[in-house]
Amino acid sequence: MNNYWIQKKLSDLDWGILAICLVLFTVGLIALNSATLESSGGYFGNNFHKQILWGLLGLTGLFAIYFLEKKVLFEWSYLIYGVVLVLLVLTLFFGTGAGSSRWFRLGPIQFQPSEFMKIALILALAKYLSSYRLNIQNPQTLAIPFLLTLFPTVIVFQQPDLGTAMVYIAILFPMLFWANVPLFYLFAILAPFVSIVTAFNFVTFAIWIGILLVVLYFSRRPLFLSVFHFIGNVSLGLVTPLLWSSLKEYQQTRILTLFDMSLDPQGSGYQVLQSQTAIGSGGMWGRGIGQGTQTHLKFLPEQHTDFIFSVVGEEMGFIVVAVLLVLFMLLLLRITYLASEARDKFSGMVLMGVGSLLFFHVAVNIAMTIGLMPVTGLPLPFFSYGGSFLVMSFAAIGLLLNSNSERIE
Amino acid sequence: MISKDNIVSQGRLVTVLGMVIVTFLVLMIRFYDLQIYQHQKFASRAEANRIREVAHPGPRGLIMDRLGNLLVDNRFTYMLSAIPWEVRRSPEVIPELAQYVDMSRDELRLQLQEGYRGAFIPVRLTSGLTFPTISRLEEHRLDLPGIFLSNDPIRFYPSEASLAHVLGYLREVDEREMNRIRRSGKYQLGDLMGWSGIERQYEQVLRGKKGYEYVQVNASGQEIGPVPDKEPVLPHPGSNLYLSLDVELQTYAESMFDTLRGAAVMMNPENGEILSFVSSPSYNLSVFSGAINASDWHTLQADTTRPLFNRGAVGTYPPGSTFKLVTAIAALEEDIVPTDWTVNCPGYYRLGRRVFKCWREGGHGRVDMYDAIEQSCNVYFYQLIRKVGIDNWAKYAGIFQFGERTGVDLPEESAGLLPDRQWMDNRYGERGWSEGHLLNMTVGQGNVLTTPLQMAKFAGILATAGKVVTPHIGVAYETEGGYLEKFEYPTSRITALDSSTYKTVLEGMYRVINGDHGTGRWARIPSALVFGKTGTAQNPHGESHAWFIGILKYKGDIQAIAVLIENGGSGGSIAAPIAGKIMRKSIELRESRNNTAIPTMLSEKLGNE
Repeated sequence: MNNYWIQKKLSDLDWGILAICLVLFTVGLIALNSATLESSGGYFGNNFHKQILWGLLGLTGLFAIYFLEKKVLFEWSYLIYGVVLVLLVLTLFFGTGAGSSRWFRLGPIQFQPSEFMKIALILALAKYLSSYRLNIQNPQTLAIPFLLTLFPTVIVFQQPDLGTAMVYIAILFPMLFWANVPLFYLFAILAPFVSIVTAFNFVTFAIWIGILLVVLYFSRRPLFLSVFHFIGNVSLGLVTPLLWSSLKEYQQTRILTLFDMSLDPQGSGYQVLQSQTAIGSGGMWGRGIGQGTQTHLKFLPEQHTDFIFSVVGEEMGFIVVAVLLVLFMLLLLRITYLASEARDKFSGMVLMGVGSLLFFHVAVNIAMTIGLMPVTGLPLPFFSYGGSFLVMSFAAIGLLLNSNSERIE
Repeated sequence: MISKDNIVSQGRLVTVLGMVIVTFLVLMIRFYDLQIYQHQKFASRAEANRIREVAHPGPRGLIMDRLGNLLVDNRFTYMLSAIPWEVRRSPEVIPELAQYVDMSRDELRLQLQEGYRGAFIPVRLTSGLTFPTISRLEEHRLDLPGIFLSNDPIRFYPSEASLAHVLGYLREVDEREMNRIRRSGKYQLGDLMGWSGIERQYEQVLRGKKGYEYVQVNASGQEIGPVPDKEPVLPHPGSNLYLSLDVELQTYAESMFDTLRGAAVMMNPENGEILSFVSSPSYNLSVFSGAINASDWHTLQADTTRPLFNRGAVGTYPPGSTFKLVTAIAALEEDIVPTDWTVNCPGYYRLGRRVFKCWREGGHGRVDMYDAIEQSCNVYFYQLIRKVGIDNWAKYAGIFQFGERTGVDLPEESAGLLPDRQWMDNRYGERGWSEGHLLNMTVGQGNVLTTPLQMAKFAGILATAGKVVTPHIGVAYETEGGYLEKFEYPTSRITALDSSTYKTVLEGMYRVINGDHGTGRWARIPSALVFGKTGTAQNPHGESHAWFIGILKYKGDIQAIAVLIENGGSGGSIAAPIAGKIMRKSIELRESRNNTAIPTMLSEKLGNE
């Protein structure tokens, strides 16, 4: 590392992305301070201060990752993935948390390996999908990325953490798409998920099977493959009720509210109604910071984590919400553009991975607060309270900034 | 090798950019819809028609003793609560309220402050309101925004026994507790939960499910009425819990203590069921039954006799001479001396330049092992421990699980301390400790620490010739269907010891009670077989602690007991008589209950499964 290299690195830094993230984090802190002001009793601002410390730690991590040589990241990808996967497996045995085992306790701090798995997974997928002479037209090449995703997904589903399990899947597909995987393969992989979701209702399932038949017919794949696909999906739809009964009650409830919110007036649906009222009452200019009565009236334990954006909506109003949405959008458009312009395939894949990760979190979390999506417990990057997640978000930004810098030699 | 070329098809790039834009456009439109287009509707809903969710706690399960006597019941009481956010907005509320209830402004403010769990979480101000107070409050309801009345179940203790340390109390879930249990999703700040004792240990069994009612509240916090299209959710009671305690025996054992400080534990060593568990001084659980009065709580915490401290399971004390049995067992098992090996006790023992005294100044003369146990001769054990050595001594003490928690079903328990060679080396340095330390330890002084519960378990192992049980208080709970579900506790057996060893030790313990010179004569019961060992543990801070451990065998029943009196003086003169009385009471109770060995209420119910 010499002076020249550092200067080169600094001039490569995409200051626009960094600035957007810092603005988002600052607004997030203001909302968090307001949300915890009323609820934290004698411990005024405790979570607020902790969040600032986590933010500083995250920024340190961001720069640390940024100044790593990209070659190192590339070469260590599988190793990082392996180490985090082991940690994740260990949470099943040694994890803490009431009713779940997501956290690891190291002295006074707790961290959540499943958060860091998000980055590890992006790295591992990027390395594999960018490897030289990978024949993407060959369906067998999909086995590896699928397995890389499946392991952590199954583990966090056990923890149980449905939201994070979905994030891993949400990272995989855009990255495959970006790697030019033929669309039919993506359809084939996605099909089982659609089969599961539609299996709850006979009519939707029948429609889906119809679509499946049409696609399989026009895809002109070998007959045995089509038959295999078809039988596989139909039987998956049939065993879904069995899988369903193995879910935890609250997970079932959360999925059910997707179809009918009034099923659970006391739980998720009620939260969403309250959240909508809060946001709606915010109007154009908001009710003022610290003045949002609705967000505080909900008595929600998640008001400073999953539902932080309803605090923003109520207290800061539509103008600020619109600005924030535009900032998030610009961030994601910029990442996508950089991913298409990246100087090597690995960087392009990493950028797409980080972009998908952020996109999924932002879209699902915000859509949830306004009743467009079920309550899945996914936090909002730079806004939601939570150490591991905030550090992970900044680390992900560090990773994407890095990917946009030097070229791997 | 990495592929250098990053070629993304134009189509795929446009697809991704398009998805991002469309998604945010949808979000933006939805926010516009909520915040601009439907703003009036939501604003009025938020301002004028706030829905307040009024939670009604589900009654907790009842707690019964082994005969079905009610120990903990629920009673409904009128509770006065305040919502801090609304009270803060109208400063005249507190002075106004002070006129109607039996609390001063300052008391109300203190209670509000101490009970604060969040601006919109009700704070319990006081309970047990009388009818005149209620009607006055109802009359002035409009002047008291943020103040409301509810009819909540609180704990009520119908039995004579105090049992505070066993049963435990409830408290409101605070921020710290909330962080611990957040993800369980079952509690909210301000909910009552078991905070100590059985109430905490069996929280999941006892807790009821909350019910909800939805009330419309106007902008100034006044209730307008129920929400028409929101059905209330009914509360659901928790499960009833059955304990192994015998409340009559318990009450009697407690009465023995009066002003004394200490503990007494009696259990059935065959299965570990604790029949009585006294920790004295105690406190009145009713203080905690509803809204905890902040000043009562501070008084209890400041009390120098530490009534909140559980001496039976948490208090650790040097075991004194009761621990001589361990040395005897180690010597017998390792064939170090025969029982007829004798020592002459002149009243002291000289080791190097130090003199170790026997408790009896004139000495015991020539004693063998039986005599030494019977009369608790120190000199005999000083000489014996020198032959046994620390490693054997620690090994056998370890076999009896000293230095380990018993696993009793109480949320707090001490492990005590069993020093072995490694511990002594760490503490004093390898050359920093001498045989003198060991001599102290054999008579249960020095670093050894035990709890009364561990001593009762020890007596129980001797009584059953090696059966190791987990002492416990919870026996079973009533499930939804009305049948009883029994709790399982591990038991095991010590196989390392020879049966003749137990026989010898029990013979010594028999003589402690029945011998002419026995130190435990005060625990003698003519109609029953009693074994025991006294202990007097010197204590640098004052009068010695008095110990007695004993075994009662009567018509096929076996019971093990440990009694400790803090600063009570000698074990023989204070602990042994108390233990004797408790044992006598237990026999008396058995006789008066038509000679049924173990009270049957539970066994009958369990039999009906």
